[in-house]
Amino acid sequence: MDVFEIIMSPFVFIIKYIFLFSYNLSGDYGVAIVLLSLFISLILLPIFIFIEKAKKKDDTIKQRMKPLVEEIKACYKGQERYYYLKTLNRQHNYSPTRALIPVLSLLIQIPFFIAAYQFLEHYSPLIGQSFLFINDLSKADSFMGAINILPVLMTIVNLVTVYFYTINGEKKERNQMIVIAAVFLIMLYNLPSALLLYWTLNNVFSFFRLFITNPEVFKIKRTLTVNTQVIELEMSSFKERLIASLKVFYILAIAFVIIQVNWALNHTYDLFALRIGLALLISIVLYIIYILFQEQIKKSIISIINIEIEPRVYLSLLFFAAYFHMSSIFFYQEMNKSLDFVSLLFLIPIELIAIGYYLRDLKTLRYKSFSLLLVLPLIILQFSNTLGILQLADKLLTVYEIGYSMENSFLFTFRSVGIIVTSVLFFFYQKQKKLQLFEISNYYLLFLLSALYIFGQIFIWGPLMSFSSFPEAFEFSAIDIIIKGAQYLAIVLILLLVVFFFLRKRTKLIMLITLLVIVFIAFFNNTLFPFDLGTLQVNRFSEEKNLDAPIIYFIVESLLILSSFFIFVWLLKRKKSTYIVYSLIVLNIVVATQSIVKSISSDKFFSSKNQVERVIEGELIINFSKTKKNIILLMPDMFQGLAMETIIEDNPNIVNEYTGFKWYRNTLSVSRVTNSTMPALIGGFDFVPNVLDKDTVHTIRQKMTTAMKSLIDKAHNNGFAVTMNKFPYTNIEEIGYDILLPRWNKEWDSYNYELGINSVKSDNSELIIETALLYCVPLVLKSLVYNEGSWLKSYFVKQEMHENSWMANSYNFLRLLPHISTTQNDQPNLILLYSFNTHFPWNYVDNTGELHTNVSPLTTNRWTIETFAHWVKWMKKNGVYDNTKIIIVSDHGVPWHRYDGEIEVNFPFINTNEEKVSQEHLLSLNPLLLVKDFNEKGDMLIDNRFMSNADVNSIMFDEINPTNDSIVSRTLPAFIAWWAESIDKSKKFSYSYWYKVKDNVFDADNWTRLDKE
Amino acid sequence: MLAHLLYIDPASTSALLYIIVAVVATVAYSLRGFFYKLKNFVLGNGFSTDNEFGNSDIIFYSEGKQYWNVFLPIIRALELKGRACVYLSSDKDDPGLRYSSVLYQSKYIGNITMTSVYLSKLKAKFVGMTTPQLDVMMIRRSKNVSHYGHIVHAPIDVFTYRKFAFDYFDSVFCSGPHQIKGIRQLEKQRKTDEKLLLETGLTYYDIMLDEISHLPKNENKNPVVLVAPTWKEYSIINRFGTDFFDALLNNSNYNIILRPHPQSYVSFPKVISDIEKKFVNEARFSIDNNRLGTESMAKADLMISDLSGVIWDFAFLYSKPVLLLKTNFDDILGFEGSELNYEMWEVKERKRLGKIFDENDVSNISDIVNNLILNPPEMQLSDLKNESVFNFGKAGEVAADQIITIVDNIHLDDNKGGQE
Repeated sequence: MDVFEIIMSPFVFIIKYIFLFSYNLSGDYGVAIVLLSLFISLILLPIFIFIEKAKKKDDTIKQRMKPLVEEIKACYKGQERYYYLKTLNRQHNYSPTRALIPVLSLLIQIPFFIAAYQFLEHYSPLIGQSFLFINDLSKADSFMGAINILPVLMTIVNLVTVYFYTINGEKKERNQMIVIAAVFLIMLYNLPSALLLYWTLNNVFSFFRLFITNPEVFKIKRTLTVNTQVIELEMSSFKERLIASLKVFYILAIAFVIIQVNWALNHTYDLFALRIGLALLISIVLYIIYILFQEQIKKSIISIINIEIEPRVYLSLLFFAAYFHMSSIFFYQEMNKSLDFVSLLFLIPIELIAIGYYLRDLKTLRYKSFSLLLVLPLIILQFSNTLGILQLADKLLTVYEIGYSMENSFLFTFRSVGIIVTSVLFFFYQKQKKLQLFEISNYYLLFLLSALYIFGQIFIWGPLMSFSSFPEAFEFSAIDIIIKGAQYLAIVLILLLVVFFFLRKRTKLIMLITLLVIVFIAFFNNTLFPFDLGTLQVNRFSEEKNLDAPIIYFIVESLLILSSFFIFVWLLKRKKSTYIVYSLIVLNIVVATQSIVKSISSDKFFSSKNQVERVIEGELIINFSKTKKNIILLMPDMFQGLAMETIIEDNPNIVNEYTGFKWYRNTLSVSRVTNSTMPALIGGFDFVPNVLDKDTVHTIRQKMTTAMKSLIDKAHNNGFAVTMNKFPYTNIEEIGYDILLPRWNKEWDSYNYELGINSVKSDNSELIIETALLYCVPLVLKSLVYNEGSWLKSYFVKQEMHENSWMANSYNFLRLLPHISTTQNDQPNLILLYSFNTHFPWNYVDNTGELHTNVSPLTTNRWTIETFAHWVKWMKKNGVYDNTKIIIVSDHGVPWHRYDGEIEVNFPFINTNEEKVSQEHLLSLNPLLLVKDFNEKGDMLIDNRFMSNADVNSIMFDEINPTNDSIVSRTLPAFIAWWAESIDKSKKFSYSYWYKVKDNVFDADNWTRLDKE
Repeated sequence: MLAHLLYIDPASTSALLYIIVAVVATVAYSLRGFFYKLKNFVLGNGFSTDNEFGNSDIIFYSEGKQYWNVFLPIIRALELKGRACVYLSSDKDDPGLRYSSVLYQSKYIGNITMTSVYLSKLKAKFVGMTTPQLDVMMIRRSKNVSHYGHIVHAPIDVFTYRKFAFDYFDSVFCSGPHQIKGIRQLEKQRKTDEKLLLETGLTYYDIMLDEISHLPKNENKNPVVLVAPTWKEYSIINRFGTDFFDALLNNSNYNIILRPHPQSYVSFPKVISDIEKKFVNEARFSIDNNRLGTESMAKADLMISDLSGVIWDFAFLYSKPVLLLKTNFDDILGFEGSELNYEMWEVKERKRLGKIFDENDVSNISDIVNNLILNPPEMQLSDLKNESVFNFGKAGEVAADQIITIVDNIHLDDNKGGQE
């Protein structure tokens, strides 16, 4: 139950109570609705009387103030006008806030309408109930085929009420109310007839309410009845008018008959004659309404043609139309229909105005150019199409459905055309009026500083920030970024300056203001309110789903862009450009300092330490011992333990290939993220988060390094040599390995042919520039730049799928293992391999060397198991399998919320209890654990004893090895930890609570939740 | 959701529209108020004034140095009566800041925005100022001031004051009866509190009369005609240009001093330069660009003008006739006059200053001038002065007495202030 429902519940209760009471009274649902409407109107009557009184009182005061208000508005502006109006209000005892008192009381009645809607719309007893001419109260009446009679009735009642209510009032008010009546006709057209009955009656009662609240409106007619001559005159002129506008009747009648024929063609010819008859009847009624309101209708058409709006209003509407259209097209993953609908709302008025501009210009037509003559048909076509979308919609109920029908019509493509045409027309029109130019000083300085900020941010400062947040991911140093970025920056700035120099003044001005707006937006996005996309993992952001942003974000952003535009224009017009210059200087300094300081503190400012780690050529191999022991630990990050079940089902050969392996299905992970699991995975239970947290001196990275070092020391003490690749979050140089394998090595390119790799080009320097760009651009363009992880580059360069790109080489490393393995070692060997393959983003490289991106977690898991099997085969073939202990263990399961599709594993849970532990948590805490001990033989077995991935340390060197024990009861910890913001600063792991789990992971009853101490 | 929220029957629709309009208007209105407050806060360097003239009885506030002569006679008179006062100015160059006396303190309180902040925290029994629109524009009434008085500084009617000029003062030190009439009518129409309207006069006349008596008289045998037009489009020099001076010089023996409005040099530089060029060698023609016009006025025997405000001072202080070009008055829309339904004093009485001429008279203007110099309407001028200006020549002392009466009748515990 959401807040809205809670607020609404008392009103729904009242509606429900009155409705049921009325039903008991009458025994008929139709009558009950009539009574409900009557009772609600009676309940609200006093409030209405109060409102009308307050409104009339306010109106008289306003009427009295009007001449002076107009005088002040005509003579003064700005602050002075404001002060005068304030004084005027004071002298007339009129407070603008007082106008809100009737509002407060009126607000009370809105909930009744919503409550009636909520209650009646879903009230099932109404199904199949008939009332008068309504067959089914739960459906639209469809009395005349496509035409529902109730909405028409409701509108007629509305118009009568409007006529009387505004008889003494202003024409403007009447026109407004007619438009609103029309809007309601469309909005409510297809609602269940019960609701329409309720509302129609409500309108009938509100008409009668006029006798109480506004009796004066009925009195005027009396003078007419005295003078019969006047009436005759009226009648004769009415007759004349009827005849004079007969063509309107023909048009209406033809339109309605065509609609009926069209409906009949698609549905049924039953009662066809009756429908045609009713269609004619309705056209007569509408025709009479037209005659009654003829002047208003004609006037409104003329006034639309003559609408003159300020260029900036036109431009703003155009901007919104274009902005929301763009945001809908570039929306995350697929078009967003709601945003497109918003765009439509802005487009319709400017199209009307543009047609008006054009029609007016036709008369004088100074611009008789042929191109402009083409514009009119185009714009009329576009406009009728826009309206056509509304007609096409079967049900005009929700934005979504309108959006749906928009997408299904060929007319949709006309949207962009419409926006372009309206803007062209605007500029033609404006050209005639000569846009006012204004002088500004500091042209070039402003231009240079803004360009410096924008492109500096994209080429240097943004990349530096990305670099500093995770330096180990990069093969180069900060100074490399600065040098390369400065080159790009210089080229772009020079080019821009040259272009700018040759521009005409008007274009210069527009370009400058655009740049300033971009600066503001970039500053806003980068510094003030950075949009949260999580962390960049290879080519994708962990929280990329945030791009699926709510509409309000777009509304806020569009307002921000537009208002910043006007603020800059205002500042420049008022010769405040020096303020902007100073702000830009400060901005540039701040962003540069910030990035440089941060990159210096990253320790990789001048040299990339990754290069130091490279070990001498020729030694980059995995050397097994044939006679002594080998131990392999493979750690595939984020491997879902339960995925093994499906993998084995799909490929039963795995069971034979993984000879001697045991899959520990019932395994619990120490935590659900890498940084808090790894120390325990490497170092055992002494390194679980709550134990490590007792040490408040060392950082998380230091603690992790200690865990790794303790393992390696242990290996060395046992006479093992250590060959390893880089494990995340460790200070690798402190560890004391013997051979360190890089992510990829040039030497290994000689295996390219075997692996199906085309060329080696691995650098992610472009990516950090694109990342910086992504941070700078407004939300509307973010999804466009991000391109679901393929980035902008893919629009221009077709990705070579057989390339050993930075993205692909971690997969190729796993494929390479048999090729870089030998059996020349005479020393026992510990082989520690961390693999990112299984981590988000889920990709893989197939046997032909082709990279497949954005596959499912299960697919990469399966691929990893199948690829590793090749190495197993190699070991068997080379006689090092029996003397090798193999442990494949993951640090946590899959956080399935990051995956678009459905969860791909079965839930084997005996007992689920979402309140105790959610399935999401359970799965993310279920890692893979596969162990093959020395000399184990036979098919892979499934072992259900309770294990933790922190057991790995003991399994490796057989100290209290739980796999060897007879099954005993155990209780193991699991931590709900988060990404530690900075492993170099935090001394403690960030987790809010943890679990103690007894014996079986899959039984929620065994989970006990504990808060952080 | 859209569908539920939008439906309401037409009568309530009107009410709903009304709500939306009201809410939007209210929010916009209060936001604007907030914006101006913020703007004033920023420009006024914050709200930290603790004013050092804690419990002064009498404080004067002056917007600029041009008003010093209005205050000086009052301050001197107060001194003679042993009353202390404080003078606050928003103008660094105000001579009042250099004036010194035992019973007198002065302070520069910054630009208009800072001033408004400073003044809103003021503590005093009486605050007198020449600035109109108290509590309407930026200067607001302070809670700790019992009585605010507006000191009129021109003989003109209330018509040409901007809206709500006097409404929130406790008293107005009027220069003439026409002001009392206008203010009373506005009070009635606006239902604002009745003010104390004092028959004071024009205090700066005290100073000017003194200055004039020390000025050299016209020792030249030839009479002197001072042409003092406004700068606006309808002014003499804009309408007739050099022709007018040709006509004046033709057939006459008097000297001519042109005293252009400083704004003329900005708005219509060509007109002025044409005149300068043409008459550069004409011995009887000169241009006066002195800041003060007193010297030229003292020399002159007659003034020719259009709508300039200086005509009244010339007529009253020097008792010399004025020849006026017939001009329509500026539109008074947006000014106090738009709410008053009778002929304004300036229009009604200007013909009594001398003579009015129109464009047909330009060709024989020198005859009209000669005629008027030879037969000045002295009695008429003196009557007009006595009818229109209270306490001519001694307004300062009167004002001081009036202030003392006000102050002495205020009791400090009487928060509401005002006279009893």
